[in-house]
Amino acid sequence: MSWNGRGSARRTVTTMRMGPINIFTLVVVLCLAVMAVLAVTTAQASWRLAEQQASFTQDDYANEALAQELLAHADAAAAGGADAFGVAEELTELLARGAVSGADGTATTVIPDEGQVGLHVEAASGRCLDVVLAVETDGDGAGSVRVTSWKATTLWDEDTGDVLWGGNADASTGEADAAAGGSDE
Amino acid sequence: MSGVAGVARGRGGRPRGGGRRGSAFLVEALVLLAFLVAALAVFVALFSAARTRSTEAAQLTEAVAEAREAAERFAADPATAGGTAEQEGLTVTVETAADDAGGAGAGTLWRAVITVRSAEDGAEVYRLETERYVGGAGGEGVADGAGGDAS
Repeated sequence: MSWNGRGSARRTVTTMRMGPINIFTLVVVLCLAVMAVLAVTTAQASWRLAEQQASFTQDDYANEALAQELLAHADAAAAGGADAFGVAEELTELLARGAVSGADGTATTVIPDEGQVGLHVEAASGRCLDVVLAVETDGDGAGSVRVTSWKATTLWDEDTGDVLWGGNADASTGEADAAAGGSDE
Repeated sequence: MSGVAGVARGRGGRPRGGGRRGSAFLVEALVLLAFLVAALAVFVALFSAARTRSTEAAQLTEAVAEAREAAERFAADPATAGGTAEQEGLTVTVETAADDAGGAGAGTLWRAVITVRSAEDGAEVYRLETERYVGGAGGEGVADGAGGDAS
C-alpha cells in the first residue's frame, strides 16, 4: 500500500501480464496438441484399415473352404451317378441340414442348370465366391465334376452422389453447332 | 523542489515496487512451467499410444500377407504345405489334416489352419482356416470322380 500526496492510502494492484515467453509457450503447446491429435487419428485409421483387410481375407478363405467342401460333396454325388440337377439337389439338402461346416454366417445359393451347377457363396461382409461346376457323366453311370469358373468378387454400392458431369455427347454437339452458327452470322 | 518523485522504499532501503514485480514474475514462471510439464506429459502419452497402435497395424498387415501366402502354398500343394516358418518377426504355423471323402471315386478334402504369431512373445496375431479338395485322380483344381483311372 502506498500513500498519495493528499495523505490517503492508494492500493497498488499487481497484475499478471502475458509476456513473450507465455505466448511462445502457448504456441508450442498448441502445435504439439495438433500434432498429437493427428498422430492418434492417423494411427487409429491405419489400425482400422488393417483390421478390415484382415476381416476380408478371413471371409475370402471361409468362402473358399465352404466352396471346396461343396465341391467334394458334388464330386461324391456325381461319382454316384447323379446329373447336374441331382448334384444341386444333394448340395441344397446338405446346406439345409447344416451338414456343411463353415456355412454359418454365409448365404449360399445353389443354381442348377443343364449340365452344370452354379454356387454363390456370400459372406456377411459382402465378399462373394461364384463357382460353376460342369457335371459330366460317362457311359458307366459314374460321373465327375469339373471346375469351369471360380471367381471371388465383392458386392458394393456405387456412390453416385458426387457425379459432376454425365458426359452427355448430345450436349457437346449442340454447343459446337451453336458456335458454328454464331461464326456464320 | 525536485520534479522527480522519489522511489518509495520499505525497510532496509529496498525498492517496494521492484520486489513485487520480481515475485509476480516468479509465480508466473512457475505456473507456466507447471502447465508446460503437465501438457508435455499428456502429449508424450498420446504419441506413445499412437506409435503402439501404428506398430500393431503394421504387424497385423504383415501377418495377413504371410497367412495369405501360406494359404496359397497350401492350395497349390496341400500335402507338403504343413510346417512352421519364421519371417519378418512372425512365426507362421500351418497345420494340415486330410479327410478322405469316402465313396467310389471320391478324392481327399484337405483342411488347413494357418496361425501367425509374434516371434517376440508368441501371441497370436492372425488366424486363417481354409480347405482344398483334391480329386480322386489327384488333378490340381479339378475334381475327377472316375476312381483314379486315367482317361
